[in-house]
Formats: sequence, C-alpha cells, structure tokens
Amino acid sequence: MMKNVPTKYVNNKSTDTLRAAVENQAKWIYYLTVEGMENGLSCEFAKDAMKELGEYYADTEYKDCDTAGKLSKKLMRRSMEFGHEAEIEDLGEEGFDLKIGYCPMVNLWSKLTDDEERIGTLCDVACSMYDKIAEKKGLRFEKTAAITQGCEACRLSFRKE
Amino acid sequence: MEEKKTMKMKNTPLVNDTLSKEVRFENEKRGMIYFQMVKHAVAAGLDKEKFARAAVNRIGRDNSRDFGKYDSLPEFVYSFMNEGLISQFRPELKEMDDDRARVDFHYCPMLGGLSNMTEDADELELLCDCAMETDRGLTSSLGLGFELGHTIATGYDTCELCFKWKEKR
Repeated sequence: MMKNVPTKYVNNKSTDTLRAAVENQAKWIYYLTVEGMENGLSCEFAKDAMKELGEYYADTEYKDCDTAGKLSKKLMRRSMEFGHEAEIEDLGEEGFDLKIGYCPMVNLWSKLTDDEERIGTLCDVACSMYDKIAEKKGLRFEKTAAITQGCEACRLSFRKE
Repeated sequence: MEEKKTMKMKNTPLVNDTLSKEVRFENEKRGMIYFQMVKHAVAAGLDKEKFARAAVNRIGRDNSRDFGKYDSLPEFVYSFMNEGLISQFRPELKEMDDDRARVDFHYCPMLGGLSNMTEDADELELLCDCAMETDRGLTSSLGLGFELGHTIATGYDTCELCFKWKEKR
C-alpha cells in the first residue's frame, strides 16, 4: 500500500504551482505510455524515450556538472526541492543520494488508476531519465527505495563508477 | 537526399519571473517527453500521427474534468485563461461574443521543448498539431467547437485558438 502525502510546503502557492506543472508532465507520461502499451508495445519504448531525454539534459542542462556534487546541486531545482520535498545526502567523492519525500507524479497517476503495478511501471519510466544522466556523468544510478513500493520516501542513488 | 525544411520560428517568452521560468522548464520538459515518446513509439512500430493524436486527445478529455459545466462561452473562456495559462502562453483575447471566441497565444513552451529536439519544420508542424489534440479533446468533452488557425510552428506570430458555443438557445 503506497503512502504519498505532502507534509512540507503545503498550501504554499509557488509549490502548488510547481507541483501542478510536474503533475501535468505525469499526465503526458501516463497517456503516452498507456497508449503505446494498449497498442502492443512493452513499456521499454517509454523508458528509451526518457533515457534519450536524460542524454539531452546531460549534454545541456548538466553539461558543466563534472563532479557528483555539482550534479546534485543542479538536480535540486525548485520543483525538486519544494515540489518533491527532496533532500540531498552528500557522500563526497563516492556520490550522493537524492531522497524524495513526496512525488507529484505518483499523486497524479493515483488519480488515473488504482493499479499499483502500473504506477510502479510509470515510476520506472520516469526515473529512466536519471539512468542516462548518471551514465554520462560517470556515475551509476539505482533506485534503492520507492514510494511506489510502499517506502516512506524514494531514494535515488548516484554512485561513482 | 531531400533537404529537410527548417524555419526560423518566433517563439519568445517574455514572462521571466523566477517562478514562471521554473514552470517553463517543466513545460518544455513535457514537450520533450512528448517528442521522445512519439519518436520511440514509432521506432517500436506504431504510426506516428495515429499514436500521437490518440494519446494526446485522451489527455485533453481528461483535462475536461477540471473544467466543469458552463452556461456560456465567456464563462468557459475566462476559466480557460487562468493564471497558469497567462504566465506560460501569454494569451490574448482577440474577440468574443456569445457564440465565438478567439484566443491568441504569443508563446508556447511545448513548442520551445519540441524545438530543442528538432529543427525540422514539417516535424514541428505535425507534432504541434497533434499536441493541439489536448484542446480538441477538451472542447469536444465540454460540447464546444474548436478550430486552430495560424500557428507559431508554421511561422506566424501567434497561435489562434477559436472556440465556438454549440448549444442551441
């Protein structure tokens, strides 16, 4: 049973606006992925899509992030820090963990479906972006905990290869 | 090999407060997610236009749940032109009476995102029109008529969104 309830920045207009923008992204991910799967595709097409987007971001937005520390700072934009109630656990040279206390994407998907397996698949699709970002920055990405798996928070781990 | 048509579009955001820029980043990302999903669905064997229109029309129909019922076209238009739309699309109400309204968008963050992925003018035009299935799905669910006029993606200054009241009085 998933628990995904915002506890910080609640009723904060800016955070609500950022959460709504991320929820809108989630809606597009949902319907594009589901349309593909209903037409016989596995979810891999959607994961590949997000990986290619991750590659784009690694080459542009995160172009100058030549250390794990710089990448972690750049990942913490306002939508992440406030919208996702995120925190960075800095492990120095070894890398970092991005801990997410609340997920607006999971919130949106939960309005569209009760199927927790489907929500888990969509979560994997969305997080595929980080796979490629990490790889291009010489890091290994692993989702070691997920709200969709019943955990209190998501833990996205970026470790030096 | 046939040279692909590229076009210099004018798509400039002018609302640049911190929050609007952050939201624009997320909206551009949404445009890029859409581009990549369509690209990879095609690579996996689906028809580009059929897939894109079907998926995005569903998004539009889902969006109609946020709108409720309206007794007049102006009620809908004022609800449509909300704060989020104003900061992100710079909409201008060009004309409106009880039966017809035209809202022009001076900027599109989705197109901004698509333009990061390709310079191919024909591709941008197609993906833009498919993306407008959101408004086609929305308006058809609400019993309104909708037509898309000129668009930024085809080289015009604005996107022209035309809404029609269908209910007989």
